[in-house]
Amino acid sequence: MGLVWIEYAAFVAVLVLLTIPMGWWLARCFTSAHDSRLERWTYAAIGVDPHERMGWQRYGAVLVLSNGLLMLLGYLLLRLQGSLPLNPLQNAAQTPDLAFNTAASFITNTNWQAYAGESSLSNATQMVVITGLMFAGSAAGLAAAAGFVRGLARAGSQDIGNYWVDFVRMLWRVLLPLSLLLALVYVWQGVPQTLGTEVLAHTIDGGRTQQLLMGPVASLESIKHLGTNGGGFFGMNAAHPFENPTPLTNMLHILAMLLIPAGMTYALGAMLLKRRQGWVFFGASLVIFLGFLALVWTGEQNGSSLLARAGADQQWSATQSGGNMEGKELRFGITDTALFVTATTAATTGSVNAMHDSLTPLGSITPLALMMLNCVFGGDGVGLINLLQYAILTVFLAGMMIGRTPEFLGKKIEVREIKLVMLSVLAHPACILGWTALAMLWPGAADSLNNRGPHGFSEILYAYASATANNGSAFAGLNANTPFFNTTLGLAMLMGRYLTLLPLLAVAGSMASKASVPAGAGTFPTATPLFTGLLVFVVLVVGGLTFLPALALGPVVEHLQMLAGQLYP
Amino acid sequence: MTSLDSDKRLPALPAQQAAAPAAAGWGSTLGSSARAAVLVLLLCGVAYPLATTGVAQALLPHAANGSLVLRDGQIVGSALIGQQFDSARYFHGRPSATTAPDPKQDGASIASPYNAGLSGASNQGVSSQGLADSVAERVAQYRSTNGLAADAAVPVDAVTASASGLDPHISVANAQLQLARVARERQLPPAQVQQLLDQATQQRTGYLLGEPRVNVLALNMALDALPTRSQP
Amino acid sequence: MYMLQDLVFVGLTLACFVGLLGFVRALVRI
Repeated sequence: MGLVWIEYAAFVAVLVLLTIPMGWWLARCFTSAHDSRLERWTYAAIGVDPHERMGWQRYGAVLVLSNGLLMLLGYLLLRLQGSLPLNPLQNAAQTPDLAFNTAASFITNTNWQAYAGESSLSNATQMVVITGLMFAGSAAGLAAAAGFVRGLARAGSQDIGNYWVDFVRMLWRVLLPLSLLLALVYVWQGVPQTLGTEVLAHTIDGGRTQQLLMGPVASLESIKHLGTNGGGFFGMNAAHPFENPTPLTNMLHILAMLLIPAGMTYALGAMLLKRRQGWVFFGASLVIFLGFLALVWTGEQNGSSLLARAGADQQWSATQSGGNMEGKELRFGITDTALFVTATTAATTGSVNAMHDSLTPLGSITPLALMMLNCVFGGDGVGLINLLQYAILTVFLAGMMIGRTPEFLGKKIEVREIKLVMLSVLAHPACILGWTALAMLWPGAADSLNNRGPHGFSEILYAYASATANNGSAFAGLNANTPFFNTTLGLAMLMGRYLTLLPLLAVAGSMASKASVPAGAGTFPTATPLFTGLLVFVVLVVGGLTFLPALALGPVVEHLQMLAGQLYP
Repeated sequence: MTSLDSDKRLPALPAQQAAAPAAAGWGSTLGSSARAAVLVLLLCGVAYPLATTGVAQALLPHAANGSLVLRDGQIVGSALIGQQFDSARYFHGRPSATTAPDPKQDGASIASPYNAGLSGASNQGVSSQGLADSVAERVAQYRSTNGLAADAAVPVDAVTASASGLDPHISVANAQLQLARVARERQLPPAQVQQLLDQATQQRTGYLLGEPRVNVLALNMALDALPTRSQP
Repeated sequence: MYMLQDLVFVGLTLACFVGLLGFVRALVRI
C-alpha cells in the first residue's frame, strides 16, 4: 500500500518540476517582441497585421469569429466524409445533428464524442478535422488566457495584445513541437502511427478473425492530452491498448494533460512579476486535486459490496490490485486509474482510461465535482481564467467582510467587474442544471439511459456537466447520439465555453484600463497561504452550494442504496 | 504594480504605440478567419500527422504498425490487444463486453468478445442488477472451470469486464488459479508451466507504475511452442 | 432530406456565433 503514496508523491514532485520550465516558456511566448520567420509567413498568409493592438472587445470578437468559421469548416468536412479520400472502410458522413455536435465539441476544446472513432471516422477525418480542431480549440483557450493575464498586468491601457499573434505562437512554439515529440515517445511505447486502417489477424484459439483497427493514433494522442482536448481515436479512448499501451504512457498522458494548465499558473506569476502569486494558484489547485484523488482512490479500492456479495475477491494483494475492476484495465489497476480519473476531469481533458459509468458512487463524485468546479488546474488557458474568476470573488467577499474596497493585484475591484464575474460564475451552473432538468422532462430522453435509478440520473447530470465544463468525458452508457442530446449538448458546450470566457475577457479589459494602486497597509495580501486557503474555501463553498442538491440526487443516493443492497434492472 | 512596459526581466509587447495601426475592418477579419481556419486544418490536420507518420514509420515500424505478433508467417494478433481464449488448454483472459452488429438482424448487436473493430465496455454501475448477475455467473463458471471450491474467492479481474474489451492482461492471482487446469490439460509438469508464467509476468514499470500482469497471448503462445507429448 | 437538417444546423451555428458577437457588444454596456 505504501507504493501508492510513493507513486502519488513522485507524481506531484515531477509535476512541480515540469511546471517551472513550461510556465517560463509560456510567459516568454506571450511577452516576446520577436516574431520568427515561420510566424511572419503565417501572418502574411492569413492576412493580418501582427502589430495591431487589440482592446478586449476586438480580441473577443476575433476569437468568436475565427472559432465560428473553424466550426463551420469542421461541420462541412464531417458532412462530406463519404466523398473524401483515405476512407477505405467507406465510412458514411455524420448526420447533421451529430456533425453539429462534433464540430461544436472540438472547437470548444470539449471533445465530447457521440460517435466511436475507429468505426465511423476515416483516417482523413481523424487527421484533418479531429486532430486539426484539437490544435485550434486549445490554442484559442491559451490565447484568451494570455489576453486575460495582460489585462491584469497592465495599467491605464486599452490594449490586451493581439489574438492572432497569441494564437499563432501557441501553435508554432508550444503545441506543434511538443506534440510531435510526445507522439514519437508514444510510438516507441506501442501507440500505432500509420496511414493504414486495418490488419486482419487469425487468433490462435479457434482461428477466429480479429479485425485490428488502427491509424495515425499517436499524433492525435499527444495533442489530445497536451491540448487538454480528450477526444479519442477509438471509442474506448485511453482505455484502448492502442491509445494507452503501458503504465508509462498512462503517466505521460496524465503529466501531459496537466503540463500546460499548471504551467499557466507559473506563467501568470512570471508575467506579473509575482512568482508567489503563481504558486498560490498552483497550490490551490493542487490541494483540491489531492483531496478528490483520495476520494476516488478510496472509493475504487474499497470496491463494491455488491460485487463482493456475488463472489468477487476485491482484496489488494501482491498478485492482484483488487478493488472495483469493472470497466478498468488491468495494466492500470486502481491506483493509476484513480490518478487518471482525477487528472482528466480536473484539467477538463475528458479522455478516460476506465469507464466512469462503472465507478463506485463515491468514486464518481470526483469526476463530477471536478467538472462542476472547473478551475482545478482546468483546461488550457481557460482553467487559469476560471481560477482567477474565483480569486476575484474571494477578494470581493473578503473585502466586504472587513468593509474595504476590494483590490486584486493592485487594481480596485468595482461594480462592473463583480457583475461580469457573477455573470460568468452563474452561467456555468445555470447551463448544467438547466439542461439536465430539461433532459429529465423531455419525452424519450430516458430511453438513452444505460442504468436505471439514481445512476441513470447521474448519467444525464454528468453529460451536461461535462459539456458545459468543456470536459468531454461521459458516463458512456448514455446513448447520446440522438438529435435531442446532440443538439442540446452542442449548445451546452458552446454556452459553457463562450459565456464564461467572454465576460472574463471584459473583466481583463476593464482591469487593464484602471490605474494601478500601490499596496498599502490595508491591502489584503493575495500571495499568501491564507489567501490560498480562502480561495480553496470559496471554490468549494460556491461550487458545493450550487451543486450539492444535484449530487445528492445522484451519487449520494446511489451510494446509500449500494450499502443497502439495492439493485436496479 | 507596474505595466509590462517597464519589466526588465521579460521583453514585452509595448502596451501602446503613438501611431498604432487601425484595426482591420470586419470584412477583412472575416477573410482572415477563413484563411486561418483553412491554414490551421492544413498545418495541424495534414502536415503534422503526415510528418509524424513519416518519422514513426522510418524509426519504429514494428510499434507504429500495431506491434503485430506472427506465428509461422501468419499474423495471429497484436502484443497489445487481447483475444478470446475458450479452450481448456489455454489460459483465459478477462471477460470482454464488446459486441458486433448482428448479421441476422439489422440494427441489433450480438456479443462478440475481443472485437478489436469496436472497442466497448458494459458501462454498468455497481447498482446494476445486470452487473451483479453477470459477475455471479462468471464466478460460478470460473470456479467450475478451474476446479475451485464452491466458496473460493475469485480474483475480481476474472469476473469483471475491462474498459476497452481488449485488455491483453490478467492478474497474477488470476493466472495462478488457472495454472493447475492448463498443466493438466496439456499433461505438463506444473513447475514448467509456472516457469512460463513467471517469464510472461511483467512487473510494475520502474517498480512503481502500473500493476504486475500476465500477457495472455504471450503465455499461451509460449505454451504452444513447447514440445509436448500429446498434441490433439 | 438532409438538406433541411443541414440548413437548420448551419443556421443554428451562425445564430450562435452572431449571437456571441452581439453578446460581446452587450458586455461593453454592463
